[in-house]
Amino acid sequence: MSDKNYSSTDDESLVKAARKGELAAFEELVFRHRDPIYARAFSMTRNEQDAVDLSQEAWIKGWQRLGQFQGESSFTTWMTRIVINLCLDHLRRQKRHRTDSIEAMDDEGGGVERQMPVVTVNPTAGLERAELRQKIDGALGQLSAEHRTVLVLHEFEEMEYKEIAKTVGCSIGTVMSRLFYARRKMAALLAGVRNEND
Amino acid sequence: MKFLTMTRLVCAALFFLLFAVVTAHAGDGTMKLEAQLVVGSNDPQTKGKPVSPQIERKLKRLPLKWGSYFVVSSQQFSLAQDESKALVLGGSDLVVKYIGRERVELTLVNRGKISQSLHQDQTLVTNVKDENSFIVLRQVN
Amino acid sequence: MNEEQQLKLQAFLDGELPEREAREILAWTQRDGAAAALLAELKNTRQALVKSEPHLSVPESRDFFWSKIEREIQRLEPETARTPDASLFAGLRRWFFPAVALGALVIAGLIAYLNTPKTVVDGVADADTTTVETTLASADATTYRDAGEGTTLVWFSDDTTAIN
Repeated sequence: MSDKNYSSTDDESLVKAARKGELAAFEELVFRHRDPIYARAFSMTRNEQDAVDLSQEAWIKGWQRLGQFQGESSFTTWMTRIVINLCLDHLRRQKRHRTDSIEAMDDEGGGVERQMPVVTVNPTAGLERAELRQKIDGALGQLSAEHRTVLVLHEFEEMEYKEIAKTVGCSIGTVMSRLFYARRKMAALLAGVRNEND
Repeated sequence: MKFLTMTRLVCAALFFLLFAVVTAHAGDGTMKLEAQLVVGSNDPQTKGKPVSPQIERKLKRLPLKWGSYFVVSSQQFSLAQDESKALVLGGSDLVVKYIGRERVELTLVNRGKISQSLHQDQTLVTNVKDENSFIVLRQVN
Repeated sequence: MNEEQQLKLQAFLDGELPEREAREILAWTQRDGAAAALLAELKNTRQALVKSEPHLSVPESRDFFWSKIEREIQRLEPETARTPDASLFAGLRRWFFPAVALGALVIAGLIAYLNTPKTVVDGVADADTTTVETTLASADATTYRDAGEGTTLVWFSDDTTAIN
């Protein structure tokens, strides 16, 4: 392995070097971008160890597929897509082993989201940014994997309905229903927190 | 001979001078050592901090029955010549002594004593009382 | 408000509707208070999420996180971890450096030998010999040496099942 210091090299050059087999260059890429990749895995799985394992698996796949990265998106975006797909596979495997639960039965919302009262006050008003982040993180943890996935892909990854449907492997209608339920539940959860803070 | 060009002779001279300076000081003063308590496992579900790739490479070449190795604890310490340090690792009482010329003496209380050189890249591995556990002792920078 | 209307409202917010439909939904929210309220809720929630994504860090040190990745990469593709040397002088370097290193080591070894004290310290054997004593006369120790890696394994006899 080369002893070259890559700490001041730009991402594009690092990718080029890594493609040639420079593991040290790839290590620098991992160091720079590991947090957002891990964060994406955690936002989808809500399990720290799973998120670490899946993000490491994503980096290994990234190394193997470097030849396929053409620079059409940023390197982080490309790696994020890899970890998202790994997380979806992981969640599907978990779902096959999961016993039925109220959460599972509530998978498609069951219409309950249509009956929820509208939250009229902006639930984020008056909260410090750090506090809001913490509350959102807590609320995300209370969604089912299916609802959280759609919400994360739409709000954080800015994917369109069609792209989400293709990635997750469901219909656009299902994406819309899950997103609607997830947003309404998030609003209720954040409003509940807001009321506690008043 | 074409091989013995002036550039190559100068490179060789610089190289052995540097090496001679390093080895002339080797065995003097203190020796910095690292003792790791390592656990071996064949269970793919085992979770823990794996040993470093360098240590793993060395362990996998030994006639040990395990496929994976994990660090339980690690201690680094420096010893002056004739100085000893007592450790408790893996349920065993140990005493490490630096006896000079990059040789150490590792005493496993009520078990035995090993006297071994530990130059850079040399490693001593020995078992301790706890199951599937052993000590990896080596010199570090 | 039925489910289809609610989902259309959401699609309008997300810019997923064709222009004509989007205009119809906009007009609807301007005359229907319930629709406007629901749209506001969805919008507030979306804005809250977009600007407040939790910032998380990998809960492991850099070296530890990387070591597992590196190990797996090397296990899967040991050859690709090396940089192919396309330099014009690659052939020369392949024999030149080993030859220089070998010669230098021989000379440096002589210098090191001449520099180190000749007296034996407390009867200790030559530099690379391992001596093993067992505390109990009935106990035994097995020694295995891997010269290539510089590893010495000493296994005390009460646990020989660990060894293959």
